Amino acid sequence: MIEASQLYKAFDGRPAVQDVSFTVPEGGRLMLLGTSGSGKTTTLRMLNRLLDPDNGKIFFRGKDTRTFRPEDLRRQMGYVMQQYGLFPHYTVAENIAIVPKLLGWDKARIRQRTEALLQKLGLSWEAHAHQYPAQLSGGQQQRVGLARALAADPPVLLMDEPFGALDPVTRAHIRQEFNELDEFKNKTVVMVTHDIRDALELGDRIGIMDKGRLIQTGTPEELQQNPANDFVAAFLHGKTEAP
Amino acid sequence: MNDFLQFLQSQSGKLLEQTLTHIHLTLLSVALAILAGVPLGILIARKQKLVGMILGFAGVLQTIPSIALLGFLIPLLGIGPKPAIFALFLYALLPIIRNTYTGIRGVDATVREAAVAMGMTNGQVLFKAEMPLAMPVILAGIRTAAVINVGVATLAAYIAAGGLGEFIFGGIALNNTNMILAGAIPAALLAILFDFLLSRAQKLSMRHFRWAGAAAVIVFALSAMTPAAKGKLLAGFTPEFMGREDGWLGLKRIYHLRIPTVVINDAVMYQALHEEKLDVVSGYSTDGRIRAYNLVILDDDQHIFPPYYAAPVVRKDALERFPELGPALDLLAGRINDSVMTYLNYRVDFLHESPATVARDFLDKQGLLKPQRHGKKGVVRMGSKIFTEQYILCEMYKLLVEGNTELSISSKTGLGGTKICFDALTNDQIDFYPEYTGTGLLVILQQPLTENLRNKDSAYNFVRDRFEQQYGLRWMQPIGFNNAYALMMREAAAAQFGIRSITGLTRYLNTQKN
Repeated sequence: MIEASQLYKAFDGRPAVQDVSFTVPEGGRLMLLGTSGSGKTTTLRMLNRLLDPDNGKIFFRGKDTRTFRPEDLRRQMGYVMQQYGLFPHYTVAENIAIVPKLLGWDKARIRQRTEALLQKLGLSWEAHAHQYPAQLSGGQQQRVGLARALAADPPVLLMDEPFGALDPVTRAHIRQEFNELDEFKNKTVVMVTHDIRDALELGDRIGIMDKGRLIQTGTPEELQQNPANDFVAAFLHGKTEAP
Repeated sequence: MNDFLQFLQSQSGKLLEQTLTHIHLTLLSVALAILAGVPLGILIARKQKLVGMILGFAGVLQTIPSIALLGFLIPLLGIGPKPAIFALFLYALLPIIRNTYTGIRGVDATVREAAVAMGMTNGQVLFKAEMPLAMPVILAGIRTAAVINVGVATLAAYIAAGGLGEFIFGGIALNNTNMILAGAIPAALLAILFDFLLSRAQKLSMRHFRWAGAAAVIVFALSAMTPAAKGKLLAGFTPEFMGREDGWLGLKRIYHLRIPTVVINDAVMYQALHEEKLDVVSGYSTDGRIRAYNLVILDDDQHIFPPYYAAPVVRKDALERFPELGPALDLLAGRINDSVMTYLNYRVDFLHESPATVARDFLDKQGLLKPQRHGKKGVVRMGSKIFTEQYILCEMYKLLVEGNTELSISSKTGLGGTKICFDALTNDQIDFYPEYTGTGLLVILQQPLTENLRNKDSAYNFVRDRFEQQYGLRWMQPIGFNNAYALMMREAAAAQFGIRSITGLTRYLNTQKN
């Protein structure tokens, strides 16, 4: 579904991502795991062309992403951000409806979809649809952020530290909810996190990144049994706490 | 208070018209500034390299004095609403561009990123995310611009664009408080009203804007319905001239002159006449611009303009202490006629010679220039008002007194106006300054103008006697020229229509109507 080949990206001459390659099959869930500054967010942002790589290529369904209009590409890839990125001047319902509206859905369909998503995410049309983001708790805002990413049922979901701004209890709770969500199960997911528990619970494959490079990719079991180096071992065993 | 209400009642038609014109000027200029300024603000928010240049340029525009800006615009846009609206538009640009830029730059980066990441196009990011979120800041800029422009729009009265400035400047020139207030109070109320409406708009969410927009369009359409008269010949008069008996009122009453008039500031009036935007203006008969622009003065054949013959007014104690002072000052008596004075003013104002050079040249040609004696007998304090003619006269008196006597002159030139000069004289701060008979009559003695006083000699005798009795001041011999109010036209136009006098102008206009 997504294939990244030898990505290289530098900012002001300093390489942020070097020689990163990976493949995510349809329905696969790749967790990019690493410390701050390891290049994982830069890698993610290249997938939907928020950034273009200086070198290397990305294929979506076998086609070079540069052959897509960026807007069309992005509308097929739901995007969830650590800081939610909800429009403060839109209500919850309007936020969720953004991509379906861009795609030209009719009102009834949007309404139906929004209501269903709210319900699945433990919110309700009556109580929340007409509230503004500032009136919601952090956990509720992130649920709306996820609903917005899922609204047009895109095949791909890109998530950048989606639980990063939540307290540990809410975080574990929402993570579990997401995992059980059938909307989530049939997506191809690339998620960036620095929390090993996110990766172990949500991912079928984990890529460990450090200093701009992808050091090792594999299933959680593979990584735990055969860490490529001390850094991977330390990251998987020693640094299991969220910073 | 009663006075004021009576004035309002008697002028209600004019007041309403001026208020509507004022709203029209303000709203149209701000609307144009929004149309230009918001896109420019968006542009520089996208292209940071242009920020310094565009904000710098708009900032420079803001610093151009309004009367200078209006002067620049006359050759391009003429007089009337067009240059006024354009000038107001330029003044409104800076706050609108700057606030649009600041507002858009202030949008939360994660919101912008989310908008892009969801697949919005550049235009959608702008109109669905950035503009609505920047709107309160942009509206604050529009609010600033509107309030500034309500104030600056009073200057529209300088270039015949009307508005509440007509009352304000007319009132100031005529020392009529009711007239000033009739312009100033509505202008202040307009500023408060615009500020209030826009502060409400700032609190509305985006979806209400179409209603606010519709309301603005209706107000605008209403205010746009002010009539604009246009005749064959057009006269431009200063606010002061419009309200004076020895001005427009007298022209109507004595000459039965019927001509469409606009109100204009004297700083741009001559230029507007020269540029053929006006055909007749009220001016001063020795102004250097008469020569510079080839203008001709229409003969005041019915004598409605009182004589303004210039002569030094001197403290009697100074004349007694220095008996040689009087004769030295009188050396200039009868030496300068109207056209010579016009030429001397022209040399300073348009040929940019210094008043000292012009004074020295003139005295030399008249055989009056003598080497300075550097005398030590005493110091005579000389004052002047702040305009070219007075500077030139003072330079001449300095040369005459210092060349013919053992006295020296200390100059206190640049005393703001008649009242300041006169008060300095009566309070023994200066010993003499050049004054005009008409000013002495109407401003200092506040004497109503009778037929008798329109005569040159009787006016001079009258002020001389009264100054002597009331203030102990001596009018010396008149210098010769008469710097009075005058109606003037372009020489070519006057010749073409065969107009030489004000009666001739009236006759010409009457034949045109039939």
